[in-house]
Amino acid sequence: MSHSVRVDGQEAQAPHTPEPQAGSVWKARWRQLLLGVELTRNLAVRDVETRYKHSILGLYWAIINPLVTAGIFGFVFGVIFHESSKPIPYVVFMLTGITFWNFFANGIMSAVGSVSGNASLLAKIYFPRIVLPTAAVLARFIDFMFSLGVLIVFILLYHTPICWSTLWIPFILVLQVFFTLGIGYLVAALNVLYRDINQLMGLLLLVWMYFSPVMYPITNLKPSLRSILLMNPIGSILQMERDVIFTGHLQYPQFAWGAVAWTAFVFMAGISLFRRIEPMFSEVM
Amino acid sequence: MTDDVWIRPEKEKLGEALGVGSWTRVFAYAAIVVSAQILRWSLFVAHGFDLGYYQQGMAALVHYGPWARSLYTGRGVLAPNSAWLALVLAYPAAWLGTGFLFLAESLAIASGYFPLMRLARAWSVPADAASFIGALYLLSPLLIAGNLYDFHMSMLAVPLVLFALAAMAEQRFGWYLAFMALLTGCGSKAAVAMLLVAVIATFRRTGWQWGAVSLLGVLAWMLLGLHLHSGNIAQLGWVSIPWSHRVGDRPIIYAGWVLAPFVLILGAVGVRWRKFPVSFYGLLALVYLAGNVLSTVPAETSPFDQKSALMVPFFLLALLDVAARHKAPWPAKVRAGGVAVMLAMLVVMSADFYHSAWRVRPANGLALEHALATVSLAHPVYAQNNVLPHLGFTVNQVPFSRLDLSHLEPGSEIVWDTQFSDHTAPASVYRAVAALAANKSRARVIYDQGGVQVLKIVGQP
Repeated sequence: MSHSVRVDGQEAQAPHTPEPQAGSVWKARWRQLLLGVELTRNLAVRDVETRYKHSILGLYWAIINPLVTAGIFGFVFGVIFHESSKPIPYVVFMLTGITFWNFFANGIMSAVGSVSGNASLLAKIYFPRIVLPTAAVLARFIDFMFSLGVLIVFILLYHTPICWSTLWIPFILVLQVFFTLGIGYLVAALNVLYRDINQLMGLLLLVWMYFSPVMYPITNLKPSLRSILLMNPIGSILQMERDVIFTGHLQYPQFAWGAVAWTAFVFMAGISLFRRIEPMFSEVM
Repeated sequence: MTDDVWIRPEKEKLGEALGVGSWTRVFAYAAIVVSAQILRWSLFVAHGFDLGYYQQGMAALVHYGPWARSLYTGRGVLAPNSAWLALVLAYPAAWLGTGFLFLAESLAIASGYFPLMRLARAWSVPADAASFIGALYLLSPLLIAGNLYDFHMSMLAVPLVLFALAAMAEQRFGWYLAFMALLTGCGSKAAVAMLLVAVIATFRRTGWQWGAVSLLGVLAWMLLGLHLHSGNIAQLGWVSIPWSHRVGDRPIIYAGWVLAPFVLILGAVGVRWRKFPVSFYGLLALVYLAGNVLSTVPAETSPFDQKSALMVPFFLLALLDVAARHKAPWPAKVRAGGVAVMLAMLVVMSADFYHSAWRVRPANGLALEHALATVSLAHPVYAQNNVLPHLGFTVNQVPFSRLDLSHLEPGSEIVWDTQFSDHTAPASVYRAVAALAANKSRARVIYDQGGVQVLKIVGQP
């Protein structure tokens, strides 16, 4: 008929090359994945051990850090600026925000230097480089679990009622972990090329924290301003975490779907950029 | 496990047509458009007749089954456009909420990138041209506008058209028919696109029999399923209007808006090749455009209309076809220029978004939120066009335009933003609501702040 219609079946077929059997390919991939998981776990545990080795307070630092941060911000916002988060006591409200935010911020800051700081390891053996930022983020997750213990103690101390919907926290944390990993991959790869990333992220995270509902409630803000704050995926994730613990339902469920979409994008973009820059690692370092 | 070693990839699979990079593009589209959709909704500028209609309809489908009635039209939910896929989408959407509906629509539309890439592979389109055409799909202002402005079942037809064509190109005829069957679930507005897909399939050298079967099927569906005849051609999204109304600036501007990026790209390529490339698919797309231009709906209202989105696959097929026939690589300047044109159009669209959404958002959003928190939803709730989508997936949301004082049952509630009015409800309705608010024996004001009133009907007329 028309010369412009793609009609020929043969035209559609690319030159055929023999490929390995699908079953064996998947088996090999599965074994590689298991190896990756094992290596990630080992590196994460090593990271936590070396971080607190030869320190007097050891793992207590994982508890002291959020406590001090919460104490300072609690004094400034709660006592000086009279910030209110009723019916939740402000200390509990803010400690919740700080605890979940710290996992995100610390995870990213650990991931930034995870590749560039392991140049000697990279020179010795081959392994998927993406394991390094993954392990760095997961190591901070171990710290986060200790901080979570502190939060629980404060919730009990202040007799703050919590809801059964708290059981959703692991699902929201999965979202947060993937979002953190995505940003972690991006910054870890970029930091190999440009060491400014480390400094930049410190600054960026500071700004990001103030644009996220870490220390202030957003419930009574104008819908337009609140919407802009919740467009920020980590802001929406933090709000979800607080909501399921103290409110019993998501107050802004629409934004949760936005956070899901952004998390998927950031995670895939992180992997994509990391894989793109990975071949340059050996040249640059 | 101790015997295992790491296998270093022999070659990096960067830029795989269907790999991580593609997923990144798809999710980038979904994340940006979903955020914009949610922003529109949260600013109280989403429309009841676009989103609320589907929310109420889907809730009714879940509660009362396929023969549920819409409180927006007074007819069966599936009656106006026969979009039976709404029945499938209704269950997860009613459970997971409006945000899910937005994400499902955006992800579905973005997933059209994959069949486009498969088509490019099947037609041996050079990788750079394929990647460029894929980017044009995800940056298309027609597509993004249709997606952004709340929710429409017909938008789901865009990726399905591409999936059907990819299946045909890969000679997976069973899948082709399955996608065509699914297209019937996107409603009558997808009928023209379906017809064009069937025509394309019929004019293939291989598997044309399947195309002919599908063409007959589509015609049968249009005549017997949609009961299409000259009097109800509006079902297709085309509205019969007097000839005198068809001539003017707006249809020309509209056609220019639709054609500009494709004509510019093909023109730039044509200059390089010293021959303006033409394609059978481009012709089909022009037929579709002509139908839109000659009808009033998109041309006289806005180019940012969902009815224009279904032309995008056919224009992109034309580009793919040109790229496949002229195997020469597309100059980088042409590709950069094409993307720049799309981005410039998106900037214009953002300006439209700013004027049509941000600037006209109600100033009393917080009062509206508090007012909605007082509504029980156990009885019919009457609300204005911009408030309806905030009632969520409830069977009881009714637009102001259907407010009839003589049939208001006790317990019904009316959410009235006194600072807002639009053309979806006549002025007589607003006068009636004002009179009702003053009639204490008939209605009780249960909320009155920031210019927002909630009236509860307590007595019979």
